[in-house]
Amino acid sequence: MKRMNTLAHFFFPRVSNHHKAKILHPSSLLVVSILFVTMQLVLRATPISHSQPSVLGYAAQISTNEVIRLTNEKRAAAGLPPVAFNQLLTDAAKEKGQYMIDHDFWAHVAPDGTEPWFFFQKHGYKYRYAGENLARDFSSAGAAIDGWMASPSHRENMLSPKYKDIGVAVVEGDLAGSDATIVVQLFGTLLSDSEPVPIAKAASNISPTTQPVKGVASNISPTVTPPPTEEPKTTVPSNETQQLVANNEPVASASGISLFLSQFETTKGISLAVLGLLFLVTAIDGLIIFVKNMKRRGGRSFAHLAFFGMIIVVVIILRAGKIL
Amino acid sequence: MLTFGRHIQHYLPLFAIFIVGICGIFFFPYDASFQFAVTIAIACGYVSWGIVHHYIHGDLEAYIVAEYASVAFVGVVIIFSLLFL
Repeated sequence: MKRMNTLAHFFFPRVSNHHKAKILHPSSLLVVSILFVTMQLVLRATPISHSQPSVLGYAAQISTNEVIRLTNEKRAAAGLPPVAFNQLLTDAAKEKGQYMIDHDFWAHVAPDGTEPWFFFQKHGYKYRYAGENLARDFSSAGAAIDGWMASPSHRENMLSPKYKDIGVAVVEGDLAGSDATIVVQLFGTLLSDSEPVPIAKAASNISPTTQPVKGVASNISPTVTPPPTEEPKTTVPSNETQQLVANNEPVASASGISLFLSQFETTKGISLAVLGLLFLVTAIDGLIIFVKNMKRRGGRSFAHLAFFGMIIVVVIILRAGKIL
Repeated sequence: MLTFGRHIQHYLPLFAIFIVGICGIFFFPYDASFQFAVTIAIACGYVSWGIVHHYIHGDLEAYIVAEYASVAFVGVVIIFSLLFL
């Protein structure tokens, strides 16, 4: 009986809570917020979501082949020729992704100043044009592609007619204390490519220096007309330049275990549960007061309901994954 | 709820704030910072609406402001968690 009274005190308007469900009092809502943040911190620190990236990561669902296929699908829809798989760019993408994990950063330019173009050059890809898209924590290749396509600057990279080659890598590891699955998408056109962009047209794309703009649309054209003697030292073997490579397996599939649980989805579920409870209690609270035709001190139940409803819609809209 | 039918015009700005906010979040899924800024703006708009609404009705007091602020705070904390934690 005492337990029922306590529950009623928290969830229904009555004399003991000044005719407003206790959980809707400002002090209780503050406690709910603090508990929610604490839960988040515990979730981040818990071993199951932190130290077993191969189990909890999303990489098994992201195939680099699929990223390339979908990219070319988008290009085809835009009337553009496909970009071709390039092993050098793929190696550069892998190293860039691993570099981010090893140096614990999430950016185009590393804290030590290492730029994306360093990886192009290190792997012997001498570019006329180069671009980089980054994504993390998406649940599938399609979700990452959709994320990039929704951003004007990333879409510009994906749908640029200047690019002829592509390299994609999916790298998994610990990033700033969280399990992260990073997708690195590199675009490029070789300096030795036989179809240079006309100078008059290219001029509009030239940066005054060879420093690329820090940001998502990192297009760089180091020179208008490449020095004739500066041929790439590493040429791409013909058998490496293919549309797709069949043996490009997803990163985490080798782990053999796929328990697709992410902190985002967990947080989303808990958020919806908390908001659903608050919405329900507010609705019942408002209904009881309405039926009893009572006057009480407090905010408008309908306004609170609308606010909680709006937040529920936002939570449903939000998708996992970040792009850069 | 009691006053909604009689004061629907008071709620229209509130709904407008919510709809614009949802649109902002929906159409900019690639920019988490912007989405969070929109959430903060919605929360501020909500608290402001509450203050104006109760001021007009002559029953504005600190407890009511605290109630609107705490409701808004819950929403902001949840969205922040989803965007950044």
